[in-house]
Amino acid sequence: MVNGYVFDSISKESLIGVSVLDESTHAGSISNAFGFYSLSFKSDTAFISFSYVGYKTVYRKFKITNDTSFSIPMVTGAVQLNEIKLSVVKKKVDNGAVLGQINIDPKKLHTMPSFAGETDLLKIMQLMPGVKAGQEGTNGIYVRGGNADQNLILLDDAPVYNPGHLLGFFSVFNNDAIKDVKLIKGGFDAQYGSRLSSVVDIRTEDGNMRKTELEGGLGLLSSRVTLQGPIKKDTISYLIAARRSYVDQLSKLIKFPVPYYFYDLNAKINYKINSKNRLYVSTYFGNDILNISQDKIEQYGTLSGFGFNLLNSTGTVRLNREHSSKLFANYALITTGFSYDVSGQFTSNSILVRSTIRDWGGKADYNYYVSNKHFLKFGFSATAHVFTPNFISTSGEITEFIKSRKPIPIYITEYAAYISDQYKLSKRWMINYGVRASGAIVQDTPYIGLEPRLSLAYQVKSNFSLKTSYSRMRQYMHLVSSSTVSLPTDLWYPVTKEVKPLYSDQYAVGAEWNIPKTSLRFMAEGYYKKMYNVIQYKEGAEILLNDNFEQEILFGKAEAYGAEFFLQKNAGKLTGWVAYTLSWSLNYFDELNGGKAFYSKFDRRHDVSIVMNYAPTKKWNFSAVWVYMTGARFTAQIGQYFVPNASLTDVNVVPIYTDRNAVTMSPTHRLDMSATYFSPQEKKFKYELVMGVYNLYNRASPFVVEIGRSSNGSLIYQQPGLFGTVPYFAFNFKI
Amino acid sequence: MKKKSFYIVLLFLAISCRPKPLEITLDAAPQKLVIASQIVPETVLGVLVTRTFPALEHNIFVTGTNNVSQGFIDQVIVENAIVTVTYVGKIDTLYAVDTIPGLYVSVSTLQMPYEKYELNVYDPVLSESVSAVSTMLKGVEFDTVYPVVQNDNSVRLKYFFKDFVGPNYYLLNVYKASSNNNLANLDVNSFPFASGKNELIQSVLINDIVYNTNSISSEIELKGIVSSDTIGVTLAHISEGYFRFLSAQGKINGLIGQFFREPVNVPTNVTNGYGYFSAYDADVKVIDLNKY
Repeated sequence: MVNGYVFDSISKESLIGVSVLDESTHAGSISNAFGFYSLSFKSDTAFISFSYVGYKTVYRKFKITNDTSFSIPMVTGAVQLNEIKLSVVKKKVDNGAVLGQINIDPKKLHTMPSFAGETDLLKIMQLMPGVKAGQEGTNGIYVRGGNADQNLILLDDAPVYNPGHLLGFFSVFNNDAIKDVKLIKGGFDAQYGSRLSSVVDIRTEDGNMRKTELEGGLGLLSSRVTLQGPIKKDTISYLIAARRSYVDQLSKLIKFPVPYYFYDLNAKINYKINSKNRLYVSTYFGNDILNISQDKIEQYGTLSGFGFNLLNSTGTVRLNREHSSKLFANYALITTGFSYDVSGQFTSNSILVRSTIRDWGGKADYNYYVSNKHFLKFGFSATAHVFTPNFISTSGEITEFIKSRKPIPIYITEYAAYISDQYKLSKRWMINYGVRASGAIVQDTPYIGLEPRLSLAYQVKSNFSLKTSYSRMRQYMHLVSSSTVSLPTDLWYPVTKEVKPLYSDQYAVGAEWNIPKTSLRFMAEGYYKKMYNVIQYKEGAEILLNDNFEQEILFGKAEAYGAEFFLQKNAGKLTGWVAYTLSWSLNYFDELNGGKAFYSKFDRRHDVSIVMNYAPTKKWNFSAVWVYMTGARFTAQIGQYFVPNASLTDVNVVPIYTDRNAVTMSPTHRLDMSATYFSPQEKKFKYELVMGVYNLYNRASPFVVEIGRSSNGSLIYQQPGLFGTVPYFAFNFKI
Repeated sequence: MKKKSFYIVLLFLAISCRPKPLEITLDAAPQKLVIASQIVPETVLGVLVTRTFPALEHNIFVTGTNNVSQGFIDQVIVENAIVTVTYVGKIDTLYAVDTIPGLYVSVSTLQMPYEKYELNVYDPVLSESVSAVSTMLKGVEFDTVYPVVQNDNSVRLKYFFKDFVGPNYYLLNVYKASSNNNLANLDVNSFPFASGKNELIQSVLINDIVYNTNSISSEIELKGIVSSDTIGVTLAHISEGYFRFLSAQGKINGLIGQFFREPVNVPTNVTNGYGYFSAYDADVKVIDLNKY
């Protein structure tokens, strides 16, 4: 065996997903989430290549006596076209039966056009095939017909319940602290579960082991700074990244105070105990604060105070241990918390609503490199969740309508065990099969289920492969929305005695082609997904502050299918991609829509993203993003009538609606552009000046249909957009 | 520096203007008839016939006033409709009430439990017909109903009645004489639609699934009633469909309903139309609160 770690030669940052290839046999491996690789050899000489996009390929010859450990530093550098082609081709061989997975390099994000200059990880994901955006400007993602609560977002193994700041306009992820992002929307390995539709696996930087680095940025709405460096060279490093918005400060300048701001903090310690053990401690803390008080709100009438406070936190302690040359393990203790307070005071009345979620859990994941053909993963996890929804405290006349109450916490323990085997059947065939057993115990009710997984790949040629996959997924909690529009105060609830776990079956087939003599990569994928025990609310259901919301829930099925196309160019002066998704998403509920099938709100038939980056010189980069999406669906009011009361002394006006979600809003399309100037890279102080514009041609992206007035006084339906043309600038620096 | 920052921010705001909303054309629902019905036991069956109107209707009021425009009235109110009720092989024709356009009544239609009543309405203007069928359920009676007067402005009503076997639904209405009437003029048998007579104060929908016994006993706080009022209380055994119709209407209304609920489709038993035709018998009690 030859094993070790692959890392950046300067920062010592471990590199994830490096292609490790035996040049003699073309057997290979990929470095895992901690940069660890392992390959076995029959001869006593090994000739190995290590390739990774953005780094120069490394070739090494090893004399092998016993198990040999070699850690490989990799140097950044421009990669030649043919080298890219070679590494991409090899990488595709080594990637195995991987379908429905997208890797995002966060370091390249800050030159892309963005909203108000804040390049956002989740918004970049919305540009990928199969991933839809929700309301304009927000970072909710809808993956392959799944709702926004069907995505498991992990930050260093810790789930994040509310990934948005500012009502979802910015994500909680500071790109400067992020090393690697993987979006998985199909062909799930058995190590992943808990949500039906996707996994977003985000890994933070480990911290530079060699020297101290400071980087940051100033934008239109927020600024950030990241400091990392060694505590003890090559042994212990740290990273601290902080960000704060200043909408509150800017609004003071124009004498219209908006006392809202957010801040977040990422911190990490990386301790290399010895050659076989490594300890990571990472944490995230973020807060959104709105505080309108009497002296600031003359314009708000009788409202004397209003505020909200959204708190997000995660904490992970992880131990990587190399038990042997073949067995690598990751042990983790994880905690996650999310809470919100909403308070209001008007005249002599006051109300406070508070909800909290707290998780405590642990897991163990093992990578066992049986041979170059067999790669086993197995592990187990357990998480205790405590949900405390809708603590309410009221005073004044409002107590007549809303009583104070202390909610009863809901405890649920979720657990899972899995095993998967990636097996190279032959030179052309690769299979990844496995099973996950998951379950939960809540209110003395146990749930358990098996989640089989299967992926198969056939290498037709060295640059062309076909793949297929099947995944069953289970989910033990869901997001209960308090209104017809998603809000950060929407509540996560676990399954209960009455509310059963959701589960889904997804089938996918795809093809991947690295076009010869170009740096073009083309992928096409078709999928079909059936979801069970999905939730909708009864017509007229009252969810707001209703702890008996289970009485308002209906259970049904959902079905999603479609085709995704992705053409990417990842080398040369002009890079970028074109993504197109054609999809359908339907619901089946006996008690809704007269029992007829109806489309989901986010059933948006066509979704196109065109992303272009042009770097004519080392000093300049120009980017453009154009997006097009069929309009979202809604239930429209198309008539009304009177119904009198029994004494004819009053009438109700009763609306007449279309079939549920039968109407499509106007399509959304938008062009964003940016230009970035890079300072000379040989200097110690490096900076970037970014100028850009969001929504260049100022088109409304409809998010609602409302009734307005035309110029002649008649009523019309109209669809407002949230944001028009927003120019911005940003300044990024690195020392 | 502060002044420069002010103008920079203002400039960005000026450029970052909200885009013009996009118009969208939605086909209006075809105009249909709407039915509402009311029964005064052993006295009158009344059916109000109106038409639907567009969601974007903007000519409801005369400009600058709160008066409903004649054009809107002509559009919505159905006059000269042909309204019949068929039951036990008999056809009763309902006649228009001059003082209340759109209202058609029959004074000879009997309330017969378990009997099926079929309503047919024809509108000569739209050339549209609608029909509805309602089976009159067995009548229910109060065992006891009495007020508890706590003070001049606080009155509670307690009631008790026997529940029928199986799933059942009941409607309890509380009326009071309008301020124009005194006890001498209160006529519980007068037509409740008659403006200036009795006014519906409160409606309570009762689903017997929440009661584990074979009787129903509860109390309600009467809103808008004072200790000097006279009230009429009616109790009717209604169908599940009518119960759902009335429940759905309750969900549409109110500030909470507008912003925090999914759209509600109000059910109907009117074929080719909207509203509800409900035939039911009701027990009526008149209570003079001065006596309590």
